[in-house]
Amino acid sequence: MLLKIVWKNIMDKRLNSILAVLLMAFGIGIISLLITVGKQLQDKFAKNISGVDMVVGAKGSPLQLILSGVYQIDSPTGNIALSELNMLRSNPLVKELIPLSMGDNYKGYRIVGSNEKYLQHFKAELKEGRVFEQPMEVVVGATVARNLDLKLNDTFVSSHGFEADGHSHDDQVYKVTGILEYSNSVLDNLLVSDLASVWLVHAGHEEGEKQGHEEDGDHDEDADQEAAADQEPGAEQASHEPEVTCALVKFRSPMGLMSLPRLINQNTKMQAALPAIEVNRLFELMGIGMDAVKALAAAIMLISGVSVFITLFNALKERKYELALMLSMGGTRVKLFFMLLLEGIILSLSGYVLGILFSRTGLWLASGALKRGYNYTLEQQFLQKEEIYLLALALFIGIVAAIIPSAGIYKINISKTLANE
Amino acid sequence: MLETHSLEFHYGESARFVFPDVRCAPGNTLLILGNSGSGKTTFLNLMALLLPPARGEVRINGTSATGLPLHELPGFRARNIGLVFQKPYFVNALNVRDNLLMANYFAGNPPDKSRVNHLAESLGFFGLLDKRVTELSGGEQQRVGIARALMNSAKLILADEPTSALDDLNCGKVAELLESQAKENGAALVIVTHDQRLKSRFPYQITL
Repeated sequence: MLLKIVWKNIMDKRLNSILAVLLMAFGIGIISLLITVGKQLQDKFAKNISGVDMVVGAKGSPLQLILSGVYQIDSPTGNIALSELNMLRSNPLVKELIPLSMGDNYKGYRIVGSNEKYLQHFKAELKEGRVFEQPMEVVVGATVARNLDLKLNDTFVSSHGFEADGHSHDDQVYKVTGILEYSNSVLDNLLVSDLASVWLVHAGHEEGEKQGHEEDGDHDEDADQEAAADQEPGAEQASHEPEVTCALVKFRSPMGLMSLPRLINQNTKMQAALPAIEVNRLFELMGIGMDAVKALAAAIMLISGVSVFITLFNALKERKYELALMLSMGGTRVKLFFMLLLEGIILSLSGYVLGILFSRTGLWLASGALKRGYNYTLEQQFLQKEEIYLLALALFIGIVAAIIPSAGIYKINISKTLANE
Repeated sequence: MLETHSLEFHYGESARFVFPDVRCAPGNTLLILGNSGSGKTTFLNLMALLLPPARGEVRINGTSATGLPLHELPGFRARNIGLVFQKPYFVNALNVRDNLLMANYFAGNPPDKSRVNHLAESLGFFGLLDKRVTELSGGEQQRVGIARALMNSAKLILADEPTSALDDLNCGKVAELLESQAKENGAALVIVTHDQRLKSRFPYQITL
């Protein structure tokens, strides 16, 4: 009965209630979305970083080098000579060095030339098939295989650059020899071949392009654009010295961290970037924006509390007679106090539930957008620890907003109110 | 069954009210008449246990109600006294049926739906049970108010100006219903009013 009265009263003040619930929902939704998205991005970033102590590549922005080399989301900085890498490999401080060569894609998913160590680095397991053994054989990440419906022994030609509609290399055909299990890493969104495949594809490509130049002089603009936008490996190289895009390096000891980056940056044409530092920098930059939005969301939640307060305060004035009536009918002040309090709690709780729903819908939409943009997906998760704190915060705001109006029940003089004096 | 003994109430030092002793047996009706300021509302509040008397005693059903500890008062009132107000106050968000069942709830009794139907039928608002109270006319509201006072089978019905907001036709109807329902339920009925129209109707009356 008490719940019925509470509910009917909420429904009686429908518009006020909706306002309070919506405000709370927006506040909660924004904060929860930021928390879950931020957390998942950080997880993804951390997972992909793990084990990589240093990335070496062509000189340029260190952040760009990390984003392209470790996360496969930005354009590479350029190319480096394999011979220079081999010198680095022989350094006693280097435990492992995984060369990566990029430049092509298949329907928007990057083809990375590397070796088996790259797969082992992510502890990837084969769902079916085998690892590439000779040029033009490729192992397909789980997400790629699912989205492009690739199966064993399928063949395809790659497109140049990282856009699906780039120039296609029709003369070299890749063959799928293996499909990977989900590793929840960047590998899910990649196709991995050996280094030679990338060289092979681009050797042919270079010749083809040169022919094009000879036949048609107007192609200069296109070629320049392509070279600038795609940083195509070997585009400007006349010699056929093998090149790669970058390399992931693991150190044997922390000593490597101390000496190697400086050594490389000062003495070679390559650049060394430390993922831990660059990613921290990235999150610091993002964190400022996130904090600002969180503060805004907290303000919205607070306004929701004020709206609950005003609703209940007005209701108490209007319902003075009802409350006096209930008191005269045997209702105790404690009971009625909790009845009013319950109104505030129900409003903020429904705001919380709606807010979490908003957040999950937002997550779903963001996941769709990220998938289109970066081939990254976010997972729908159960309540996060921070969201439990949010629940406590929402309840706290609801209770604080309701407690002052509710306490008014103790000031009602039954006989005077009912006698309408 | 109601008895009062040498009740007194003070509003500060200047306004002291000393009330006559009254008795009202089950099935009987006592009319208490008085003009504004005569203290008749105060008298009703004392009998309804809404105000504590400065002196004196109220006995209801043989229990000295004024001697009860404070925390037992709301429950005792809910079980033994049915109140009818001049303006029939309701919980506006609830419909007529729930407003009646609310009386059961606050008295700590299980909801008595058959009593709602029975009272609604005998008071003539059965068709209005699912309406919101704000949609009812003044006379209809007052009849629902009477039904609510009877929901817990109270042995004492206290009515405060139950007819003064009503026209002559409704005044007669409401007075008649009050009397007949109190008789049917074996309750003592005390009406406090300045409404002269009721004078001729109830022979047993005192004037403050």
